[in-house]
Amino acid sequence: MRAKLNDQTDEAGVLQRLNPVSKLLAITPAMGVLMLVTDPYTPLAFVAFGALVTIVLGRLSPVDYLRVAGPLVALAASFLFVYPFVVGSSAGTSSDVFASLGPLAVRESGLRVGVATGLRILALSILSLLFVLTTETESFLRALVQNLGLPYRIGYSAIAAFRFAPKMRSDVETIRAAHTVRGTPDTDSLRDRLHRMSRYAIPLFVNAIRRAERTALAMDARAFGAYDERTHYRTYSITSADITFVVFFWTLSVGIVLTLWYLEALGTLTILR
Amino acid sequence: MSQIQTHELRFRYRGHREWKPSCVSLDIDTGEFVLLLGPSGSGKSTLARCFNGLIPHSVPGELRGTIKISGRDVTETSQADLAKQVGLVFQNPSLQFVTSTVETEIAFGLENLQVQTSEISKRIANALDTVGLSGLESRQIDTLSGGEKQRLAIACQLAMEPEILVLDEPTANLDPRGTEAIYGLLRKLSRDESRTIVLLEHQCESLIDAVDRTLVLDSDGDLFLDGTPETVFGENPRRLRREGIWIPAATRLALELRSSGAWPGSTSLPVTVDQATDTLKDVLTKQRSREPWCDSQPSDGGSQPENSTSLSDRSVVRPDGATEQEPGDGATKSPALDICGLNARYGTDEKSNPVLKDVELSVPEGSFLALVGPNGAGKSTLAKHCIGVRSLPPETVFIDGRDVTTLPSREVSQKVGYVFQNPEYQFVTDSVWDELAYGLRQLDFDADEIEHRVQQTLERFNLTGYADRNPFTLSHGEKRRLSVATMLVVGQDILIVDEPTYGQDRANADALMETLSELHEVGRTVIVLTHDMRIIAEHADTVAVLVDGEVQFHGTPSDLFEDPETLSAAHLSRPPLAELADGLSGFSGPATLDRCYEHCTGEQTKPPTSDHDATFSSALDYGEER
Repeated sequence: MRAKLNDQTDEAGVLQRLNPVSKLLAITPAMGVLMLVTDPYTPLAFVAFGALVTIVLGRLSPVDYLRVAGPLVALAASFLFVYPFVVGSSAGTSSDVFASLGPLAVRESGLRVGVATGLRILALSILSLLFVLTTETESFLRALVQNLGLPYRIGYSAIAAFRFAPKMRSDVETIRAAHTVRGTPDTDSLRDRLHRMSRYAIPLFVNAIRRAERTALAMDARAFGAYDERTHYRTYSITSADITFVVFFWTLSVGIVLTLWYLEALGTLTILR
Repeated sequence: MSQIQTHELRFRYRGHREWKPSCVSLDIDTGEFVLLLGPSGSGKSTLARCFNGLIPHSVPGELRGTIKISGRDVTETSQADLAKQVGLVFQNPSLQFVTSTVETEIAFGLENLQVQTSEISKRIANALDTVGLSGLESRQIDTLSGGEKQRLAIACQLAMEPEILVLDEPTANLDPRGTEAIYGLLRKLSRDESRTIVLLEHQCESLIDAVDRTLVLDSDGDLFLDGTPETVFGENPRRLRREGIWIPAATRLALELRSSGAWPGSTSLPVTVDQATDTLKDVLTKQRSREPWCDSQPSDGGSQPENSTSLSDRSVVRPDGATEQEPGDGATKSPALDICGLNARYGTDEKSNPVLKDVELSVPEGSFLALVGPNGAGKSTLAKHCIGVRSLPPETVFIDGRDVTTLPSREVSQKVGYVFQNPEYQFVTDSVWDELAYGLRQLDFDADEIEHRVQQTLERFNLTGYADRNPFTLSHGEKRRLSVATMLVVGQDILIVDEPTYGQDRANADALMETLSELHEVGRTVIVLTHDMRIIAEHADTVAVLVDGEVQFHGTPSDLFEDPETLSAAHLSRPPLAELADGLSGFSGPATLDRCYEHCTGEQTKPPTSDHDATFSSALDYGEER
């Protein structure tokens, strides 16, 4: 599914064609603000804004988007349930009791903090999705090397390393099958499980190391790291489209914050308290 | 002009004691096409790494002697300069790629050499054109077939315009069609007189006619033969056989015929099929005129050479059918394995393409089935369904007439053994001895019985000296032997082996096939997943061809070989001697060495050959007729 979202063909949206660095640049200030706010309205506004931009400019199907974002909403909601109990006692002694069950009391302030925190986490994740869903790791690393001066030896080694992740997963599956065939009992006690994991680890790491070694040799054989500079066949530059997007995103971010402040919906920023 | 020149070259990896290669002096000229042979662990790959400077520049170890590329000492030449001169293609295509698309991958090496962008585009186009992958520039590498990946790996090297191209077992992971594509490409590349090619392989049957020169390393890492294929194979067959090194099928046939006097002593031994065909036609004409009724000495099956050894093994392997298992209803014998209408797809996603479509396959008890098909046709998926490691709908897979879904996994593992391609995946303990005892302990055998069985199995598989070693420290061939042994010690009735000859030298592969044949003889059901035509021709009694998840063919090997359409759909090629058999009048059926021999000598059964190496007795060379 990720592959489909990452599709970088002509049919893909504006976001996919932008330089990854500019996308990162665009969302950074908004994320900074989100880390500081304490009210629930600002994160809510950025959730809507982020999701809208991602779906429209990234030309994603809303259904696919929801499938990815759904679990994040669930994660945020869990804060709502946990926070009132954690926070209630210390910060909220003076606030009203919202509901109570025996010795447990849910106070209003706790609820408020829970909502705000949950939404903040959600807003931060939604903004990251804008980047993650529309960017290939490889393009991002290339752009980092070309535009932000990341040493290419590190950047390209990381590109090579990212190719291993799916292989590790299929390895685990095969090893599990291989052990089942040996008659390893598939009992479910924690001890058995831990033991099984430790047996998987050996062939998994032996193979990962061997693979890394082979790939490193293959890279050396193609003169990787021979010179301090390399040329770039696929170039990443900051184009006018990138600048327009960054300015557009920043303007709207500032607009959202100013509007909320004007409506007196913006609470205190944590750093000022 | 000599392009690669070594003098008493030897290398040892850091932490290793033995020198491999040890003391290799050779001289390879510009434009030569060199085939470098040698058993596993002879230092072939190490030598290849010396050619392009990975040794000593990137691999820690100790290098002695000298090696010069185009007259320049490798130790004093930078890795970058060497990378421009010598291209090295590795065995596993997917481990040599860095990026994810075809064109960026070719560009990678050129960018390292600071080639300008406009030049890079030109070179990408040229390289892809040469290897026949034009039009795939922006394809994701992961979507390419194995053969295409390996051609891309060659393109990556060609784009760097090296004078020397070294290929380290480039076809080991490929199906026959992929292999033929690589060989066709190498044949084309070798016509360019300015390019030197060094090919490391365990065998290269259909390319041997293009090879100018053959070098052979022995198991100690010494260069022990150096010459044209005709001199190397034709004059030293015994030494090659002793080292367990592949010999072209045409040469083997001629050797057999010479020892029975049918091959004219004055004619040198052939290497290619074409060379053999002409002489054989003469032989046949002469023979037919001499004895018009070539009375066939009836092959009454009594002349089998292996019996003495395998009989004793039989009792070891199996306490024999009569005594074990529940007193089954012998009258209605159900097939060992029965697959009825099996469908499967990757993952649980309903939209994903089906891997298996309505597969029907019945494997009778005691048969030797080769399950063949192109890479990715679903062979492994099908096999894994038979061992219950993938969830499947009820009433689709039956073992001995019992639905797999109703059997606990432990019981399935007692009935079906599965040898994975990578033996390391199957190791669950820290010593060879425990590894063998493991399955028996699961079955609650008593300590004496375990001790006894483990000892016998260790001996049978030549692993006695390794009982206390950690399985991970064994060599590849030994690991493979151990993984088969762990499956056999329990004594399953059905054994499934994934690619038995994959990544192994001739001697190891033959030893393993020999074991499987013996098991088959004592009545076990053996299923191999393979592309190896030799296994199909010489071992299997049934073949099932799986293409795109469907069983396209299920029958005998000889029927398969007479069905070119199915062969090509399955990405298979004909056995090496098939072309030769076409040239012989009156020959029909599968073109195995034994049958060709019988045909050429007037239906005599081939006598057992005497220069038999005990450890690596080769079921292929010295056959047991069935």
